[in-house]
Amino acid sequence: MVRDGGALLELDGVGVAYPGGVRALEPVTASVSAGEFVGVVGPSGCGKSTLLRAAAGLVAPTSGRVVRHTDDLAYVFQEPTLMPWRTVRRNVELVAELRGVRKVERRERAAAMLGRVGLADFADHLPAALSGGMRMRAALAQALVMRPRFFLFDEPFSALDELTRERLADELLALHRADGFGAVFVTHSVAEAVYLSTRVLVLSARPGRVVADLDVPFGRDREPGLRYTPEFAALVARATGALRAQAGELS
Amino acid sequence: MTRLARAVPVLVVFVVVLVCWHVVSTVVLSPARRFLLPAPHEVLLVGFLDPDNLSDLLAALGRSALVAVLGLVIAAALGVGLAVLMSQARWVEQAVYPYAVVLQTVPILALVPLFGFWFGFGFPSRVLVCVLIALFPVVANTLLGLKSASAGLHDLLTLHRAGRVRRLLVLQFPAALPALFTGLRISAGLSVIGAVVGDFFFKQGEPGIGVLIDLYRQRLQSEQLFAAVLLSSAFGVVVFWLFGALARRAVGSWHESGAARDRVR
Repeated sequence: MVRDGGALLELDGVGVAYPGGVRALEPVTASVSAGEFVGVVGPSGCGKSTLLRAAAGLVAPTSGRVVRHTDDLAYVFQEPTLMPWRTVRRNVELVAELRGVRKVERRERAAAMLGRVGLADFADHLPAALSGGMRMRAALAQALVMRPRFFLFDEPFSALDELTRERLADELLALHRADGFGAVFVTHSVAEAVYLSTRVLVLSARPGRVVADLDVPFGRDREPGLRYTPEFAALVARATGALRAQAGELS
Repeated sequence: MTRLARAVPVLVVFVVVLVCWHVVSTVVLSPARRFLLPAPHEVLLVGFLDPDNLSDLLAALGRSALVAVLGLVIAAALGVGLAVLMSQARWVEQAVYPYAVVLQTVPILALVPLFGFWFGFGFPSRVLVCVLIALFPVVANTLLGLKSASAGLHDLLTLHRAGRVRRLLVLQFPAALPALFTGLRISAGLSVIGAVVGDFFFKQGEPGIGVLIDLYRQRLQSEQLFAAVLLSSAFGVVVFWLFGALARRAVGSWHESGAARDRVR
């Protein structure tokens, strides 16, 4: 069930500059509503991750303000946040443990999530025994374990091969369909952003600013074949065009 | 490679060394100079198989072991404590770490006479030498380990508002275990050296193995001297091996070497 509704996150002129005056992010104004899946694309080093870190409160903005209407937040990092000394099950339990959930309930939640991401048979393995794709699935299960209302994804599939990326994108779509969380998904792949999102923000090169805000008109029941339709190609072309246009401005 | 196959080259070298030793002792050296290198079987017979000698050696080794172990335990507690403090505040690290480095570079044995003045020439000074000689590897390795956890895991804990203690217990300590054990392994070896060499300077109280070594040297009892040297070396090897085994047990299979073996692709 997809829950559409009020804003989960509002960014009001949020800009970030690092010590020494390096501007990582020009003021960005955007909002994310419940059930919305917002893709953020932009060239390398444009401040996509900085935007996400500011949204999560991991970086303090130097201008503007971040308003989060929920603390029920999960962050999926580029590298799976798995502790190499914990089994997959105990890694999935970690977020629940940090939130003070009792052991019995943690176990149940972890088992359910491992089932959902197809890792039930690997619960007692150490992360080092898993492939890259499986580790990312475990990290997804870890983030999902408290069934959060709001997700921030920081290029979670960037280190994976094409086939695994596409498979995980479909799994993520299914999870979003079922749980209806709000999400911001940062990626450098325009096609991935369009395939997953209900809306795509295109950022300029550093310091990043929003140069396009595109609605994605496809429903949430998306099949891999969508990638090969003219409508999909047109939307990818529009987003890529917006990226290229601002690159042209620079040159 | 099986365990036996790995042991073969080691055994071959051992036998070659024994044969060379025997040849030098019985063929190269004249009987008058044979005390410089007594033959292996004489060391065995006089040093180890004579019950009186053996009991002297083992009792002395026991006392040195007590000094080394106590020194190591204190160094470990102090070292881990210091490393934890340094990992919690940058200013503590900046203030304390240079002194830890100085401690490592100062020749501790040159300070030994001072310890004698201050703390007497007995047990406490022997332990102090071991503590000082064994401290730095624990501090440096534990600090390195405490700082080794990935930025992503730190961010995850920040996101879920984990406090200092929880961060330390859930993330930093487990991440530090491999490095901590590396440090302990080095320190254990150093502590044994400290206990044996410390004996040369601190001769009050019951003699340790170092005191015996010095005594046998003065009396030219070379069989006993060799037995004492071999026994203290064996003790060092056992301690080193013990900490290796402890590390494997504590760290399990997740760290580097053991981890990548049966990866699912």
